[in-house]
Amino acid sequence: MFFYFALPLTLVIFFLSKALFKRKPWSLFHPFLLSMTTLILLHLVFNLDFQQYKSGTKILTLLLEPAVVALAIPLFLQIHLIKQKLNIILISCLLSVCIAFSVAFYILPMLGAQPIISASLASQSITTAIAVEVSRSLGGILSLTAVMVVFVGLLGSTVGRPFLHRIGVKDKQAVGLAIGCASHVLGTAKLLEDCQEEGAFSSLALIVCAIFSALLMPVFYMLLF
Amino acid sequence: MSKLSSPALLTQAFNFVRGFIIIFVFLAVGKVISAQLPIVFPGSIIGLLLLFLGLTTRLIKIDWVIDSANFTLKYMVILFIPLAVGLINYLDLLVDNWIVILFSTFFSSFLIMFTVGHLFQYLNKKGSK
Repeated sequence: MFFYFALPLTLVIFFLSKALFKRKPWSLFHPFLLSMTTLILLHLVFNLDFQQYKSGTKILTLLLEPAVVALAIPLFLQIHLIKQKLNIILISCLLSVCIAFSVAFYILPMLGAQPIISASLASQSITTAIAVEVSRSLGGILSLTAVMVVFVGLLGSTVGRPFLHRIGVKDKQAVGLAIGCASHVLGTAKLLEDCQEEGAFSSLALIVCAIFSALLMPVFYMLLF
Repeated sequence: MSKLSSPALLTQAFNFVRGFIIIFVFLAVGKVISAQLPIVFPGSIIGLLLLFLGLTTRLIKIDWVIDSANFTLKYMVILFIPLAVGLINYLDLLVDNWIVILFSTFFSSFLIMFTVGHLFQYLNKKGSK
C-alpha cells in the first residue's frame, strides 16, 4: 500500500518545506534537510516499511544520472572564463580534491573513524550527484554522503564569504572558487544572489572539482590502500 | 497537431523533449563506454564530458538543451531525498560517529576555503601582472 504513496508523499513534503523555507529562511530549515527529517520521523513514528518507500521512489533515484549529464550545460556557459584562467583553476581545484581526500583518509581515522566512514566523507565537498558516485566507487555509505554534502553546503553558504574576507581573501574570483570547491551548489547559489562574478567562478569550481574527484579519488584509493 | 491553438507552447514542449532526449542519449553512450573500461568510473560523468565536448565543437547547439537542463538543475535536490531517507538504516552509525562527522564538516570545509582561496588569489595576482 505505502508503495503507491511514497512518491506523492515525498513531493508534497518537499514543496511544503520549500514554502516554509521561503517564509523562514534559516539554514536548518533548508528544504532538503526538512524533507529528510520529516520523512525519517514519519518512518519511525508510524513504523513504515523503508523497502516499500525505496521502491516507490525509485524513479527519483534513477533520474540522478541524467541530472549529472545536465551539469555540462552550466560548465559550457562558463567557457570564456575557463579559457582565460585554465591553469590556475585546475591547480586550485586539484589542491582542493587532495585536501578532501587526505583529511578523510588520514586525519579522520586518527579520530577513530572506520574506513567506511572515511569513504563516505571523502567526497562531501562536491555536488551530490557526483559525490554519491564517488562514494559508491570507494565503498562508502551513499545515504551518509548525501546528507554530509548538504551539511557542508549549508556551512559554506552561510559563513563562507565572511570567513574568507576575515582571513584576507578579498579577490572576488578567489572567493567564488574557494566556496565552489568547499560547498558546491549550495554555496554557489548563495553567491549568485549578490555577485555574478563570484557565482560564475563558484559554479566553475564545483564542476571541475567534481570531475577531478571522480577521476582521481578512486585512483588515489587504489594506489594508497 | 494542427488542431493545437498555441504553437508557442508546442514549440516549448518540443524543446523540452528534444533536450531530455539529447541528455539521455549522452548518458546511454557514457554508460556503454563505462562498461568497457577496466576501472570503475561512472557513466554519467563520461556523459557529462561528452556533452560538454559536443557543445564546444558546436555539434550540439546550446539552445537545444538549455531549457531541459535548467529545469533539471532547479529541481535536482528532490532526487536526493529518498537517498537521504535511507539514513534510517544507519542511525546507530551516525550516533557512534557524530564527532568525526562534525569535525569533518567544519575542518575540511574551512581548510579547503583557506588554502584554495589564498592560492587562487596569489596565482591570479601573479598572472595578471
